Amino acid sequence: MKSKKYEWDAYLFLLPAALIIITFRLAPLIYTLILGFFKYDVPAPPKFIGLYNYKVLFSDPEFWLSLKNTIYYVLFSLPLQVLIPLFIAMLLNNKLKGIDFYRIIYYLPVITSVNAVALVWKWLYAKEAGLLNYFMSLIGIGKIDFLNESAGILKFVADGIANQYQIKIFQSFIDSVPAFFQGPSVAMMAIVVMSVWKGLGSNILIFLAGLQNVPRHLYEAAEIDGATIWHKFWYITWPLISPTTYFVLVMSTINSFQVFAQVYMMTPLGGPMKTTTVIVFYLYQKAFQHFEMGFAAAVACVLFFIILAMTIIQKLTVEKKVHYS
Amino acid sequence: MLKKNSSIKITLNTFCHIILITGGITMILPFIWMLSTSVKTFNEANSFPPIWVSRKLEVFIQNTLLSPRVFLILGAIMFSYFLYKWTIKQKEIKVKDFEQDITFYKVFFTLLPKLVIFLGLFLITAAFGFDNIDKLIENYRIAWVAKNFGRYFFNSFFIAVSSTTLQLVISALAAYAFAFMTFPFKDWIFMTLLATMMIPQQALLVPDYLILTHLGWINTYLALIVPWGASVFGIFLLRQFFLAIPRELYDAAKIDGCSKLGFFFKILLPLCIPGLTTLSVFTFIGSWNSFLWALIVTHTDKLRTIQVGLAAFNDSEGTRFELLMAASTFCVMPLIIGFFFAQKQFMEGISQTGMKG
Repeated sequence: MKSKKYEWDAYLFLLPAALIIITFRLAPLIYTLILGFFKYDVPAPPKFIGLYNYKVLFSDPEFWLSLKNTIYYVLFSLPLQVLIPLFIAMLLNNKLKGIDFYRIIYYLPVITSVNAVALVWKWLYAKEAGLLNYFMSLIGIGKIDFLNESAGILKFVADGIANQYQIKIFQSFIDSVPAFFQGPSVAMMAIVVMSVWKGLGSNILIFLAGLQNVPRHLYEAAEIDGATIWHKFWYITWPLISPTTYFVLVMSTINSFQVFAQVYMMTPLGGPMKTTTVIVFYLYQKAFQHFEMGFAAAVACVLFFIILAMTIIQKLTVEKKVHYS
Repeated sequence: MLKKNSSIKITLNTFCHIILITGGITMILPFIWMLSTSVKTFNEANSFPPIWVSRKLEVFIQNTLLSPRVFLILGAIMFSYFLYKWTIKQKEIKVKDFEQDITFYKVFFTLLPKLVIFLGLFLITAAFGFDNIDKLIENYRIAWVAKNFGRYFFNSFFIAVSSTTLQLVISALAAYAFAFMTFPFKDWIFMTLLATMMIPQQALLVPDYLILTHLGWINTYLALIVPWGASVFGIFLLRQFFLAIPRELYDAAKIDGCSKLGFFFKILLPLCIPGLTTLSVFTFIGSWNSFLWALIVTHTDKLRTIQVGLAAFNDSEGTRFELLMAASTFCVMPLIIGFFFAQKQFMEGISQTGMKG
């Protein structure tokens, strides 16, 4: 019979950790919420102004632009961040030789620091001496100043096709749709590609783990019944790894909303026509370049709620389709 | 039952390999390009079409791999390899896992292979010729000395090691309490901790900065180390490992009069070395790669971490890509090298945490 004897000295063991976590995680959270209602332009003392920060925020075109840019970033990087690793994980799952070697190679970009690789990619994207432009010149495409091109990617490609090959239908189609559908700027897509490249490895590992949980005999049974590769994927693999896919989707969304370092290193001024200014970049500028702490706290709250909302939306919509065995 | 045609299987396999290798090349190409650029001069870096092998690199290869020196190099490599294998074998003979206490003897033989790795690297470098290497790494020297990356490297290393050590102790103590002890509100506290994991870092930036200002810690090492001294992730991870240790061991130790701390240090920690290693790896990498935090919390050059130093370097010399690439290599190489040496622990640790969801 176990008696419920409390060990009060347990609190002593928790104390150092609790001190740090409360001081730097919990208290700041509450502090942010409260600070959003103050005007605190360091070093002037804080002044209570109620919802004024939020009023300014929601009427600031730069904020909406940063929100739009962030949504572009998330929309265009999510499919790539989920589907490409899935594809590669499926290839690796075939008991190929050298799987360990491939896992290491693909994981390498993940452990490197974002800003260092962002710099390397900035160099790859350079207009004159960049490697990418060199490869493109080999296949006959002219030089593109990736990180300074503000045209939407779809428009850019359509214009390129029109100028190079005289096929004008894409161009006229793109010109007729609202500007939003012209896509993120080429500069933004350049950053998206770099981020997808960097994050590939960790999602591959997660998908591999999920794929390895699918029982082999299901595939064998399907093969006996004459299933094609597509059948096997759509009716067996896809449903059974849906928990993993959901996990990857949610984590990638949360991470994508928080993108900063790449933008800071590759387009430190916010990008051509400010097309790469994402929310966290906007936050950084307000807090640590303009020192408007109260206003920045309001931005941080908005960001937090957006992420929370996205997670909840995903939970309500996507999770219903997740097949838990 | 239809047996799958083996020639179809071979073509599919080859097809898979081709795609994987192409992808793999895409993964490493930027790094190779980074290394290649880091040994160029400014003019070579900016030339079009791009040069892969700079003059310095060409001279280096001529003087080492294409000269009689290559035998010396091969000899050094083989010697180091066999010495390494020998020490591994010695370790397996002398260090038996079922004995649980940590003695100096055991520690020595466990560390010996790693020491041999360093010795081997030194020998191989010497075989290449110090003056040959010296001429090759001119950009690295400029970055290290003139641009202060030596200092930044030290800062990052010091901060990463301190954070990791602090984490190991503080998070382990907390995880110990959660895993073995009963106390009021235990579950509530744990839930609250888990909830804090969902808070995005950016939401806390501003208040953390203000709190640090109030504490007077801005622009000191304290601001870079202490906030990372404990993490919910660390507590959660270690708790999982601790829970795998049988409760009876704890109870038996208590009956034998062992104090809680005694059990912690003498029995629990030695048994959970894999978990501690995993946490150390994650914490070290996180600290080394941390950028935004270090950016806002330090103002002077002396305290910059290597990542912030890189950003500042980019600001001031954005066009000297040959130097920037050398600096980027400093940022990236330590982790890559560590990764190659410890990949087994690494991959195991990641798959364990990744699957927890």
